[in-house]
Amino acid sequence: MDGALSCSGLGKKFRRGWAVRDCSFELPEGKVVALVGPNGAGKSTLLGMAAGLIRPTEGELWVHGTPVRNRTHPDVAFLAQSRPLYRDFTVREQIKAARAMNDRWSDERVTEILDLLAGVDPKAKVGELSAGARSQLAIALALGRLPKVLLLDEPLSDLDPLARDETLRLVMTEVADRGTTVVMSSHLLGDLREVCDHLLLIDKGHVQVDGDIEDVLAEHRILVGPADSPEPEGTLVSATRTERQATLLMRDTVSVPDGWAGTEPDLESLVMGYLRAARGRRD
Amino acid sequence: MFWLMWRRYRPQLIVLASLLVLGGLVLPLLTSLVAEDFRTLHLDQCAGQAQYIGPCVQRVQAFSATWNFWLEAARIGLLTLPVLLGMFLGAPLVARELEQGTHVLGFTQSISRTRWLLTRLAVILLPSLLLTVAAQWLVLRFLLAAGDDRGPYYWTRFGISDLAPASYTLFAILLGTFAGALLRRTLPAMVVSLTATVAARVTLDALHPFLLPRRRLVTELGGWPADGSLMTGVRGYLDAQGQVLPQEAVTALHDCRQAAPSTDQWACWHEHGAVHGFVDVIPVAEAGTLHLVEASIFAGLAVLLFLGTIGLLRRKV
Amino acid sequence: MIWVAWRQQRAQLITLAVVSLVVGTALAMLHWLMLDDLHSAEPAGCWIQQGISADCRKPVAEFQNRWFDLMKVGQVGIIALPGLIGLFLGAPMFARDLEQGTHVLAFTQSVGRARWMVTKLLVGLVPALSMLLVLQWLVSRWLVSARDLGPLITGPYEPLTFVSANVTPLAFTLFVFCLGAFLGALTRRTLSGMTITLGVFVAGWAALLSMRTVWFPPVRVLSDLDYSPSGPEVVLSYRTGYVGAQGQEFGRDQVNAIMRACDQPGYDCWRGHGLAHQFADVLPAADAWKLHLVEGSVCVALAAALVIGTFWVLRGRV
Repeated sequence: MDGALSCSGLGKKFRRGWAVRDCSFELPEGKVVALVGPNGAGKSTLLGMAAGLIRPTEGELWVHGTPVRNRTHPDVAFLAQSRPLYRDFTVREQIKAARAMNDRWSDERVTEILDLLAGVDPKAKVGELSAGARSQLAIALALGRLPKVLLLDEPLSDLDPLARDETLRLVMTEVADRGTTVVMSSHLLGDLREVCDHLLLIDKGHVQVDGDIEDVLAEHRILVGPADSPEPEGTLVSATRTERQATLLMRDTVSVPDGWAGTEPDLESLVMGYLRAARGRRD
Repeated sequence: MFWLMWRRYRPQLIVLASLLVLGGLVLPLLTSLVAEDFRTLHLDQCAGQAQYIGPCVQRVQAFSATWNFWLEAARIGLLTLPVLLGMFLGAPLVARELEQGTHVLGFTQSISRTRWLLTRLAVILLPSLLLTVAAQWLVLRFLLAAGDDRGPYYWTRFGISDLAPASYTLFAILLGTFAGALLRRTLPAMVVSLTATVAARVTLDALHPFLLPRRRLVTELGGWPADGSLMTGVRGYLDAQGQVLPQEAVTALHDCRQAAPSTDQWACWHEHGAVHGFVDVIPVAEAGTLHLVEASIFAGLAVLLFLGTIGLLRRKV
Repeated sequence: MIWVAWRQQRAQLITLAVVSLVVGTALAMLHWLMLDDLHSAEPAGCWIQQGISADCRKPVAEFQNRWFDLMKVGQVGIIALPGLIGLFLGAPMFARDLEQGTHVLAFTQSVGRARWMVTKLLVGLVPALSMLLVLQWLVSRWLVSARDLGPLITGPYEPLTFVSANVTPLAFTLFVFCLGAFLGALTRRTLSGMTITLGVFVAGWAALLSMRTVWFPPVRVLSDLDYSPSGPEVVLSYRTGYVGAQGQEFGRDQVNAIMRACDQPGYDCWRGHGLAHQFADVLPAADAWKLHLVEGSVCVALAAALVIGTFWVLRGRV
């Protein structure tokens, strides 16, 4: 399999059922991939499998053509959602610890990043840092591995707007300088739009949308029309209706029918449409 | 890597070192005090003879009033040391990582999971074994200075001599590690580790009579081998030809005992065919072999537990 | 609130119940088996021995071989129980909450910190103490039924017997439990709390035994040179030694010198050197309950101080 990260027929079953099922995709190299989906869609499980932490129940996963088997691929770095760090270590000791556990490692890269990110005191204890500073430290440690594929599970969730901006800029620089492929799961769609060029939308463990964001947006139309008019041709993703007006998210519409106004969705409304559809299916 | 392990287990290692220092200070002091007492009370003259009459009575009593508690405490301390090491060091070794999620940190770096486990096991296991062996040496010296002469199979003696403490520590720590990997929570792992190590010790103690070939010891009627051999529970009576007396005849002896006045009991027994008594024992000289067998069993179990832990870690997130 | 405290400690309390049930059943069975052994085999007539007769020596030795150590193990179990309860119930009580941050959940509700603390303590303590009492009762019943063939023959002050009898286990459990809770709240780490609790438990046990001679003034008992005053088994000896005819004490060095000088059997030589009696400063066996009561009260007072300390520590925690 080609691509930075690819999988076929990937599935993971936990005791309470399938978290991910029948996933196949191929993420191109050097892209920033936005992994989105509702809560419990299987994003973290997917990233865990890509990091070699979770053993797939079925299917296979490749990083740059080599299969991922039960351990982290040397070219992959993973930022876990729980930000696992030794809380009683100081920042400097934590960095030293990560160096000790890696064959390929760059202290300069880590300190450079921590300097860029302004204000993680190297003498402070990890447990006494703010949640945001801990996230930044964890990101710096992930980058210290000099990865070719960087998996970030909710990297922005603890950060203030400024830190979010800094972090995203950092990721962009990483991609530009080293050609790293980044897979990032997040709920902050506005921020994702600025940096991501590829979308992977999953729900209930299945891939719903996989493609270049520009292409995906071009494939979709938001149609607004009177509530009583017949539905236009194409695949309906989701719809919101008030008494007088219907708003539809359509895929592969050929043309905009009479009485409807069509616009290309932005990333936020596209994902919202899919999330709404997901909730509809769940109910 | 060893720096990381030292940093991660610093409190544990400091506690181990302090225990070693404490034992190294207190036990030699006690040893010299007990040796002094032993000398001034001339207890060497009392050894093995006339402990219950004559001037030895007071001296032995005075000695044991002062020292019995400390001797017993040293024995019990050394017996429980491996259990405590397994509980406080073995059980949290993996369980705390799994509980706090920091195993993810290790698992997503370059080192393999086997190496991840091996390094932290080594950092905990080697100092623990060192402490155990040092404590054993100090305690045995203390007991010997007090003229402790219980046979090698007495349970508080067997468990603290030869290979027993070291192999038990090895087993206890690996058992704790395995329980931690299985249960993924520190507290339950500690409880399981405590219960299972004690159960294993008790079971192996009960198995001792079956681990080595037995030897038949012929005694006088009513006699009792007092050399400290390990009793296997098989005993009975022999007739004049050296044949084992059948069960009916032994039951008949019982009647004889109730009927006859105590003075001519043995004559009555002779009439019923019982000439000698016998017990099947494992002789004192075999104690070293028994230690070797037991240590191999513990070491074998430890290897199995290690493999089991690796298997669990490979499978788990 | 009680439900919450119960739900948080459910695993420990269920374990406690299962362990008590298993151990209790085992104790009852051992007791029954031993009685059976006692009645069916020879020692029945050898129960109360004024100097073991030749007939009794072998059956008594065999009986004691089978049962004596087992009974001691029962006593050790009762002694270890306070430690286990303090370690596994006391220490994690607040440490786990503080470690996982769930204390914030409790502190931000309308229930006061004091009530939260007291409820949690009681929900852990009451079952633990009940378990201890039941097991202690079973062990003591078993030991008493062995009469003079069991460990009780060495009197109420024998270390194992003393610490496993009367109110001492109960009071000591209370102390170790509160100690665990306090240390857990102080260190905010379950493992550290447990480790320190274990250390103090062992030290406290030693203190309990070594402080015994502090509380009551001793009674001096005199005896002939050839046998010690009622023996150390029935009384707690504070001090033993030798006195002359006028009651003047001989120092240890003097006595040693005399012992060395008189090598032949008999005591005439000793008397020639002025020794007249052995003496012992003792606490009589009948006063054991007083000692239990005093040491128990000390434990309870310490426990109360620790509860206050715990509250004080918790009040300062964010």
